[in-house]
Amino acid sequence: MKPIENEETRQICFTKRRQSLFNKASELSILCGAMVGSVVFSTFGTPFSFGHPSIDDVANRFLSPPPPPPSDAPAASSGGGAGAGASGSSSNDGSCSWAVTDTIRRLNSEYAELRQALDSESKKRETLQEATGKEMGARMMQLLNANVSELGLAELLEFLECLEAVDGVVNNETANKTTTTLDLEATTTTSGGSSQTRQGLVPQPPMETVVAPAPAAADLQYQLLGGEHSGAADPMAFAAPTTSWSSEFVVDGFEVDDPMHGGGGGGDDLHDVYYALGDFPGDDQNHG
Amino acid sequence: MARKKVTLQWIANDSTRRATFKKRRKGLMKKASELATLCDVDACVVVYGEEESQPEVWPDVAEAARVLARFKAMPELDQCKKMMDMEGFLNQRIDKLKEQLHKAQRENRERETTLLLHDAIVGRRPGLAGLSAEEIAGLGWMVENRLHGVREAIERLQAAADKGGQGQQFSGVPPTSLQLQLPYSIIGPAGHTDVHHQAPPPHPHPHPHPQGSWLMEVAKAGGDLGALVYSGFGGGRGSVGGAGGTSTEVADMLPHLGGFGAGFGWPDPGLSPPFPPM
Repeated sequence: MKPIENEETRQICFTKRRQSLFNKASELSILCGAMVGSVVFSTFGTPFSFGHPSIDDVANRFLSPPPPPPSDAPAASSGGGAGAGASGSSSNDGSCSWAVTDTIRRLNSEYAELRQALDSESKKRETLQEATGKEMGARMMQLLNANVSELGLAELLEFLECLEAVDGVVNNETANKTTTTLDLEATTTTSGGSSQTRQGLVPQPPMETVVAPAPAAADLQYQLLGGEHSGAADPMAFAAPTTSWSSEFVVDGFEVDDPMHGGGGGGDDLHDVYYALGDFPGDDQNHG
Repeated sequence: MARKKVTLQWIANDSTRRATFKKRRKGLMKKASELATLCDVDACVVVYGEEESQPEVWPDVAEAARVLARFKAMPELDQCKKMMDMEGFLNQRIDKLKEQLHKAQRENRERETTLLLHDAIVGRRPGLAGLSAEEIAGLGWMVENRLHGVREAIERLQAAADKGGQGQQFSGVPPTSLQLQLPYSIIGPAGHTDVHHQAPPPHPHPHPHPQGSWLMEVAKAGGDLGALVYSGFGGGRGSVGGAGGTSTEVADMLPHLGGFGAGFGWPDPGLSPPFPPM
């Protein structure tokens, strides 16, 4: 056994093994009621420490064992030095163990419960995988599990029809459920949960979603109005990426399209847009 | 290898506890030794038994004293930053396990819904009989997600097929652009994950000003207008190019973060101890 030469591999190994070491130390403390302390310095000099009851207690006890605690002074005077020391240590250890045990026991119970729940989820996954395996011979299951980008056009159209049929059925059932007051409340709760799930999955794309379609709409309208407005289309289009006020942008777009605002009015509107954007990077250039 | 899972609680039997203590203490010392050797770092372990006044130490008393003294000599802040006690360690472990549990539950829910979707497609559940409102909602969400993905793929294939005639191209573009807005407003963030994964934005042409070619690029990109707008106008005006670059960096950050998460299995514990030292 020798030091690992690759820097990255060694760092990863350090992180994993340090965690494992602390795990073993905690288990020893819990199972045998021992007082354990461990300090590890990384290659960059960062100290990582674990201790029960705390690293400070262990370090202080280890670094300065000779003087017994002041509270044990009368006991020391009555008996031998060694006996007094042992008595003091035992008393401290017992006191510390007693103080922490309740919380630690509760945390251990919680950990055991979570582990059992995780085990049941694993068994459930195996069951589901088995069920999926049984259905894999069917064509629909193959389509469901295949990557969409790997399918041909005919397969996609077939898949689209099936999904749309199911979507219709789902919408009907949802409408039926919604008519009942009791189910309405449940559906609302479920919808809220779904929204949260969607938000939690990827937080950033909604921003792009809101901003991206606007230029297309504006541009299409410009195309319909004719070539004379193509010059005005560009500023509106490239203004979109730098602003997060999508609704305001859309409103301004409609204003620019209004026939009442002719050539002169168009200039004023553009100026208002830039002013509203505040510190727009191209402000000077556009004014020039 | 342990024969069976050990219940993690104080062992009541004296002799068993003592035997376990000796065995595990030796194992702990061995682990510390391996860590110090493999990673070439300073480490020490101090273990006091229940009724012992003299600790078992690794590597030895002098070295452990040196390491502990070095630890004590550091500023208080540096000591506390990575310090852990039993409660902090257990809480951290519980949080990790909760995260794993949450992930497993989500995956199982998705598999279950996929099976339900398959049953619905092959007609085993006419009218979705026997499903709860929650299951129907989940099924509806998955159907919408799948529909979005399939429509995206179909549009991509049709756009590739429609590369021929100019008139055909012009007539085809407006419906595509109009359709693209509606799915975006319906599909949630997960749909866009698929979009970004399946249809990466193509490299824009250096001359974006001709409207016809620009709109065609919009159709090709499958509705990813943001990337096209940023890149296209970045070429035209220097000041906007900076903003485009920033957006690109932000967009590229997501896969990097994902890769980082996958590669670095054990993140550094940034947990501050609940009880700062006296």
